[in-house]
Amino acid sequence: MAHSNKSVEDPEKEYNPVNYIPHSESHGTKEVWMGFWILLGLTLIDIAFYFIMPANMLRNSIFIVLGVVKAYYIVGTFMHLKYENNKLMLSIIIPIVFILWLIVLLLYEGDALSIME
Amino acid sequence: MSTTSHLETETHGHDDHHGHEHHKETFISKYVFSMDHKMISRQFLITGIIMGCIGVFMSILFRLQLAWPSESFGIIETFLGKWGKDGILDPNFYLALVTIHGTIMVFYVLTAGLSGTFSNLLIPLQIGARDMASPFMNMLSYWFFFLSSIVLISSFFVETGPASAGWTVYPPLSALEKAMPGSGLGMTLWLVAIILFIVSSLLGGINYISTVLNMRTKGMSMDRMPLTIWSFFFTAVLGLLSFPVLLGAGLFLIFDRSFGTSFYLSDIYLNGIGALDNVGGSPVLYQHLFWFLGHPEVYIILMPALGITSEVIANNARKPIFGYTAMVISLLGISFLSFIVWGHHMFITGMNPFLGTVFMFVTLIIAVPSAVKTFNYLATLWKGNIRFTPAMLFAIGLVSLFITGGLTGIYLGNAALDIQLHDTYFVVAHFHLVMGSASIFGMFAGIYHWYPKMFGKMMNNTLGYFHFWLTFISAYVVFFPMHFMGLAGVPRRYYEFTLVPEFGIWMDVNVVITIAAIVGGLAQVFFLYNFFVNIFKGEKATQNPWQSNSLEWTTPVEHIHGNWPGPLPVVYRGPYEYSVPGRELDYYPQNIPSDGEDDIHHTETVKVDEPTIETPTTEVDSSKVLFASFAKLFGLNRA
Amino acid sequence: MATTTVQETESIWKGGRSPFKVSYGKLMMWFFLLSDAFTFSSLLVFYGAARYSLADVWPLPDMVFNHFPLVGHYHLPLFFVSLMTFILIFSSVTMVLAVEAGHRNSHKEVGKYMLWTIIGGLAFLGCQAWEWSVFIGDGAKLYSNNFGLTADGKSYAEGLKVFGHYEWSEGLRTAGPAQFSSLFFLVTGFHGFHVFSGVVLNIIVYINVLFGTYERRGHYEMVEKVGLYWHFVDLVWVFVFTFFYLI
Repeated sequence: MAHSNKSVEDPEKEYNPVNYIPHSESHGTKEVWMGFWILLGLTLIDIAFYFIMPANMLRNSIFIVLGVVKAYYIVGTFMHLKYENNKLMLSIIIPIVFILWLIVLLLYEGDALSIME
Repeated sequence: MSTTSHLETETHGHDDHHGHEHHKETFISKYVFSMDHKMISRQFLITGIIMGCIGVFMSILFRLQLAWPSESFGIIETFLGKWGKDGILDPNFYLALVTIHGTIMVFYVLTAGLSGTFSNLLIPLQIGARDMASPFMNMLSYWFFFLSSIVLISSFFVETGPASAGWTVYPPLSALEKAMPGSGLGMTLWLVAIILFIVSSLLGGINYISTVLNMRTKGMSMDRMPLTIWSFFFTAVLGLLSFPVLLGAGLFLIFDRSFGTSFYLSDIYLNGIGALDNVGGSPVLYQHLFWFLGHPEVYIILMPALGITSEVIANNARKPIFGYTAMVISLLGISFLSFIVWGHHMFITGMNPFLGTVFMFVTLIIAVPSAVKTFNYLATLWKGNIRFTPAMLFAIGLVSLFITGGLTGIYLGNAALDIQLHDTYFVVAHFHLVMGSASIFGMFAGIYHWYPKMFGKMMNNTLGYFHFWLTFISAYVVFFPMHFMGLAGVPRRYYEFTLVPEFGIWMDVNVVITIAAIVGGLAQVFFLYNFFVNIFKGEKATQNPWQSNSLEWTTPVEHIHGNWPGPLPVVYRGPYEYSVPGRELDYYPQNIPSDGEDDIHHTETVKVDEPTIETPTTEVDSSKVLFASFAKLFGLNRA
Repeated sequence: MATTTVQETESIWKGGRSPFKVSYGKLMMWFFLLSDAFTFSSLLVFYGAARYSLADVWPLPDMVFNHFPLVGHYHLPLFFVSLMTFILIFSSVTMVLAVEAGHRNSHKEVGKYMLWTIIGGLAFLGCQAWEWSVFIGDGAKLYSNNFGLTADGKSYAEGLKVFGHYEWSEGLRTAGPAQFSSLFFLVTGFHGFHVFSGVVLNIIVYINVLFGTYERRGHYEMVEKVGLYWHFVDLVWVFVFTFFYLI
């Protein structure tokens, strides 16, 4: 077992789904640190908005948008999804529409519940 | 990790693998904690059948009460003890029976027993893989399911009885221990059982998905996968995305029940207790989260049955399935729509009426893919060279039940009509036909069709015919009259209707339904006998008893770990190439190269009475056949 | 469909290969995380609906989570939770560095960065424990809390300055909606449970790195898989931070 499984690179030849490990290249650490500084910066922007703006719907929307941007960097850079096969990317991202649908509908519902009370 | 290396040695050394495997396997590793997908599928099936027997038996017990209210039956006291004192069913326990019947049939039989069994059996075999992606997690999936079944059954033996709030366990009834006996420990056990079930379904689901994506053999492109695999794939995706939401809903419910939170509870008044301390919660939110699972769950149940039906109908009609791509797209459409329509279960719960309109709109769209599937089944049968095996009968029965039950879905999906029909027997009739009976028929079709693959033995056809006709007729006699009861307003989940004189006219119908239910229940004895006795005494199966194209029939009858003794088969065509013109045999297995004429391993001879050559339809494109027939029918054919 | 040709098998879906070019293990981890994302979404969406329906009486988070260790009663909203966010993001970075080192088969570096990640995870858990204990000390219970504000309390809160000293007297506060504290405990507890399991997984992988298991195996994919899980925990925290503290 000492031989490296990375030899299984050419899937045409000896693809064995059980021990198939695609060769993964290092993308260097530059982008990682870039991602870190961006995330840190976004968090600081969050905090800045928190102190300079009064609490209202606009501020909340800014927070949510910044949250989504942060999620983009975490999933894209840290979780490496940017560099994965784009079909894998789509199959992870498309199901999120169901969550969005649930959010929209339940916020409507929460509004209706508050009218009832 | 040990599993990985285990499989590696196996895939690398095929030649010595036979003798090599045998003395290593003990009874425990072969039959109990097996990691072989074929054994796990048998474990799922047999557990599912046992749970199914329990579920059906419970339905007969409460049907007795509905037909002959407050009359004494010895059998009730024998089985239920203190809840059936003097043979009369306790009203609280009536609710418990209804609840556990629903839970068992929905989750344990039709989710685990159907999709668990056939996904495990067929995914590796039909796509040409040696096992699941992770055999170990596959084993865990079964054992979580088993544990979950044990916990659920054990709730019958606690003092206050099992959960009684209906299979949807709506709070506040399920959240308040003092509301009724069934909301005590039994309810906690129900929740524990369901959480174990969610874990099992998650472990199974990610396994099925990655196996289908990653482990297809050479040439098995996505458009050459049998429709069974497509349906299991979409089913797994549905389970993967919807069960976690039930986990969330269940967590909130557990906190409300055990830790005094107010997620679903507000200051409602409880008889004998007074107003509750809780403030601000809303049970409607539970229903949203529950039905976010609950509606996909309906398709988790139904889609494997539809996939099995596609396979069985194409095989036994000896025709390519009509509209393969349309079938796949409609499965995809159903899967997508199933996530956005859950609110049609909640039209009259006090939900925002605007949402009711949205949900009604998207719900009615589901009729489109469902109709596509139905017509494709009918078009496949059209002018087919049909073999009426028991599996085929059950598959056709599914189509019939799917149409009958599906049509009433259009009524119930309508927010205005639902005001009248909600929580009546109309709903009971609808979902028992379209989801319950249809899926059970798909499961039977699968069992009769793949029994030779699972156990290496044949089932008895005569018993199968008895089983089918009795089950089919009794399914209709039981559920069809319920439509009329529902239209008249008879509510479901009522212990008896003697106090409502208007419903007196339905008493005779209830007697008919109960008798039919008992006949239908007894009909399953034919199946059970056929199933269990033939495991040991059945006629030995040939390798490809149904002259089928798909890969599972190229494996040896004796199960071996790794499925194929030699290298994996290579796929050269789609799975539904039946009655190909110019070919001597009326089937064309997926693994036979096109040029090498019939170098099929002659392990079985085609039966003499099979009219293999003079098949009426030799055209491959079945749509042309259909259009030509329509043209003839309407006199459009000028030629 | 009837006559499939050999040419069309050029596509990545033709079988006998991995269409996404990933191993089955990583695929399973991704789909598990997708599933887990739905669990957290259901919790957070419930939070959204509950908060929306109780919008008028919902306590102001910055009047509740305004403590910082060792400085006493100064109004410091968001400071401590920003520190927690920083710790978690930083541990995510060390995790990526461990994965990156794994790609270069650098045994030593993987171990080093894994250790930093574990320390980061434990630090986060410690912060959360402190946060919970202060929250409970302020009067939060799972089923009730006293973070609602009276009319006087509201005007007191409006007058509070950042870095200013504050004193909540009895008359300023009143019972808040129970959901405020129950949802906080449930959601951050569920997230904390995920962090805890992540730390346990990281420790197991770290031990394996020390024993050279992955070096012998020839690849560090296991580090990558727990890395995915760890980043997911970070991802969830971004939204918990947004919805529980910022908004």
